[in-house]
Amino acid sequence: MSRFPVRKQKHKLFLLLLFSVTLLFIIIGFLISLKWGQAAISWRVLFEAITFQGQTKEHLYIQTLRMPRTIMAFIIGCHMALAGLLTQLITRNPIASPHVFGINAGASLSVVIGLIMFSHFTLTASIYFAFLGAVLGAFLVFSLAGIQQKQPIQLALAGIAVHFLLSSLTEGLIIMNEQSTDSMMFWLVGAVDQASWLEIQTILPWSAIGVTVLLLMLPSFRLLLLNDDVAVGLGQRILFVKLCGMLVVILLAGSAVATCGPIGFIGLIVPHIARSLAGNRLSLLVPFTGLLGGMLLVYADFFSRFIAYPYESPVGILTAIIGGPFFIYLARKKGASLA
Amino acid sequence: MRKIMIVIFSFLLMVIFFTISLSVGTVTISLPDLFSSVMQKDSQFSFIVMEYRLPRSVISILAGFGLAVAGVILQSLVRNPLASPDVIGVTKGAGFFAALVIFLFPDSPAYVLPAAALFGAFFAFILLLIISKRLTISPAAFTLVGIAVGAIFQAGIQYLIVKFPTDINMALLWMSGSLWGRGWNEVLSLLPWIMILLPISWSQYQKLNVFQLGDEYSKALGLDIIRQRFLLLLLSVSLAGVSVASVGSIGFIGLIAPHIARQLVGGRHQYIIPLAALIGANLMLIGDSIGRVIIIPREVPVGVMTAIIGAPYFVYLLRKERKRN
Amino acid sequence: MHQWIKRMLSFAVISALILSLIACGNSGKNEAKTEVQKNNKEEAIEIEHALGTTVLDKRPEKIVVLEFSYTDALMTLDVQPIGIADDDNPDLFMDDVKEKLNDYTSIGSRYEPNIEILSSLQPDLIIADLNHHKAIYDQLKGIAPTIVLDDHQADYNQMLDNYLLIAKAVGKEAEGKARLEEHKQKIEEAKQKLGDTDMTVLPAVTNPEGFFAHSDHSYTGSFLASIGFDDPVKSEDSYPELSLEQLVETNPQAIFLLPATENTIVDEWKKNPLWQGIDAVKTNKVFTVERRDWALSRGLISSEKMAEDIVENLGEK
Repeated sequence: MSRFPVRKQKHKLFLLLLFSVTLLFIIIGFLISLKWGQAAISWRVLFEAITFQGQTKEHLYIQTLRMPRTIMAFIIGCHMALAGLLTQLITRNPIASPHVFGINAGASLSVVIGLIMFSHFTLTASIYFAFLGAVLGAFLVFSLAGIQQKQPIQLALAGIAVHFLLSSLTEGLIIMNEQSTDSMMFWLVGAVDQASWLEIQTILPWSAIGVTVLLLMLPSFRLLLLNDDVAVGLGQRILFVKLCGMLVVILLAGSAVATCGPIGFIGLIVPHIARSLAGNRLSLLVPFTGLLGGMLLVYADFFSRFIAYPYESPVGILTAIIGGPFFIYLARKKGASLA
Repeated sequence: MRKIMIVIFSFLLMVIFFTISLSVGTVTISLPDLFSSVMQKDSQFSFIVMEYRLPRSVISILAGFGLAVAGVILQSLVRNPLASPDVIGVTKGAGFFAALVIFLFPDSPAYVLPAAALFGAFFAFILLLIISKRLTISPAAFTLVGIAVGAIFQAGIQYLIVKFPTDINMALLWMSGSLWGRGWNEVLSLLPWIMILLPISWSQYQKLNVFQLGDEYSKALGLDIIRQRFLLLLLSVSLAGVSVASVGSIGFIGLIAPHIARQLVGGRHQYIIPLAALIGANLMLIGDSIGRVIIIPREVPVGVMTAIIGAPYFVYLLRKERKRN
Repeated sequence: MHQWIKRMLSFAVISALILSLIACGNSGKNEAKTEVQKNNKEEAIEIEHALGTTVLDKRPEKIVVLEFSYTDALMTLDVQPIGIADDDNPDLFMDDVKEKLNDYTSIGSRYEPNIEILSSLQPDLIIADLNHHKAIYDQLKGIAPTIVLDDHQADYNQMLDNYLLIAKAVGKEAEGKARLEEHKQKIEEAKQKLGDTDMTVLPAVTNPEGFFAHSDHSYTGSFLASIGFDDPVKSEDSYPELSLEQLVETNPQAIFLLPATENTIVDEWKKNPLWQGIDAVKTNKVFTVERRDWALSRGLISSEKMAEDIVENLGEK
């Protein structure tokens, strides 16, 4: 019996090509995202701006607005994709993601509570609130379905039930506070268009912690790819690894939700695409998922600018519109094995 | 015998909650006053009772019936106690079309909103049928497709909210499910549907009993699975659709009422259907009564209130169930 | 057998608890019934409004209004409403209105006014909004004669039409017309004081998440347009959300900020060098005014206050 039962070995050359193409696309994504927006900007100005020369209006658009926004999109994309990959590994469930699993809804609920309770609610505070809420959401889902739940559909339904429950509580809170309805509803859709360098500074430590724990635990996370009968023998160890995994999920998803709102479906789609391209070797899959997630959100954010041009539309709408059909595709393809 | 007793007991509870919901509110009305306001036209509280609270309470009951039975049928069909009309995207479809009316045609007459919501529920259902290859995929896959359809409609709703920030409150109130201002017109448009659909649903109990066992049994008993599944689903969607059209997208009743009913009387649908209906009505009545008095002069929408009441009980139930397994 | 008796019992206990909660929640708010006044045919008033024609037998005494702008209108006519849907938050009235306003009963949310309180007040006129209250028109009619105006989406000129209807409904048509002339006079005076109005002025509601411009399709924007200012946004939407980049591109010559919360996104934007590049900022023409004066009250008093704010900030000194 092989150690990695479902492991697909990819050719080295293919992987090299894959990573370089992805990097190329990321660079292109950054460039177009910096170049096109409400104001027209020439390539020359763009070049000057990213080398931090020039102080005209156009240079400042790029340096103070579009650049942090693009970088934030990349970071959030990474966070969500990695959180999604981990939830899918932990639950062995192809349709798992922080969104479908009540983590986003829990984080949203507690951030909204914070926003209502404190008038000076800083981003750092909202990140801690989001962590609490994410823990609550995850706890509810797993206590409904059981952490060892083998039936993906049971987990998905428990997740969606908790999602609806927490969302209706969030909605109730918002309704009762008309004066801040607009700002909270906007936040709930999820957008990166207001990101600033300051917000990037606030979220980066959490990215660093999350990714470091993830990389340190990488050898242990391999256990999650094991066959059930092998895994059972490891008992306690597996449970510990799963808990660590959940911790990373909560760090990554919670900080992302607190900063930019619950942007859905990135965490569902990206791990699937990444797996089909990069195979199951975690040391490759994890970085690739992160890059791909970042890339996808950069592009999604770019296209979301043109939904109602010249006005911004939150990127969360676009990811849901792409993610919904992908989810349907998954459900139909994997449906037979999910019963 | 015991099961019938439970059903009767729930019915009596419903009568009690119904009376309570008529007597509480901003003004508390004592039983004798309540009685006289029903009997005499011009007594002190006759407007509040007859024109305001009575239609509202009747709608609570009807919508509670509709949502709960829709949930019972759906849970049996997909063989999962966590399914509900909310989960398969039907209520979100209704919500999306309601939001379209609220945001894009704010000047339309008042009856357009429920009509659009009903249309939305069926639109979501048709979409679901097409995507699920006319129901030939497994119940689990069907549920997931429903979740996805719901998520897409949700994205649509959010887009409208962001594009038209002025009417967010109205849309939110409708979407969380509110009984505010529902009068006799709404009763009249909901009552015939429930009166027809409820007995039909009950008459299907044998099929539902078979369905929850699994497709092999259904086949062995000679049921044309796809056809029956379609008809039952249509029934469930109609019940949910008409209820949601008149009270807004309240999802939780359809999830929790069948669940409680199953806990009390086991897996036989001849008992589950009436009991779940009564429990659904009770939950609506309790939720609405509390929602009306908790922050006078304002009110908490019944959808939010039922979620608050139902949530802890729901979590308790499921934990218990899991321990048993 | 024992099991289900237990369940029933606990269910009953829970219900009893809920009952007692409800009972504590509201102790006797009954209001004594006042005597019905005799009709007086001579004073009959007929009003055509958004949902039909309503006939009032006499000049209404007890009026309930379901929008802030109606309160504003009544204050100019020296009529005191007995009930107002004020979102249960009296701070939302502008000061000039609150000063003139006597005691009233709150009817709760403007979106879902409390019909029970409304009916227990036994009003003889209800003024409602088309968009928010059309679904309960029948119930309102059952309580008292109701007129429904399109207020929520009205621009400045529609508001003036609505104002005359309200004046007529409360039996003060002549006073209303006179007051309207006075209002026009005041606005004209303000225009004189302003002198040159050939500049772009942008009013915007701000909150922590966004900057919502009020274009000339909105009430506030249309008022500014009627004074003669240009709308820099030129949007089809009434309240388009602008990003900082768009705001800089729009480059208004004056900005009136209507903060909805204490901290808004503008606090962040002010730290950005781009903010300094906006004409309005360069010439020190960014002003913060009260949102309740500019966007909530929407009546003659509030428009006059707006004109006053504008003259104070932009007038020739």
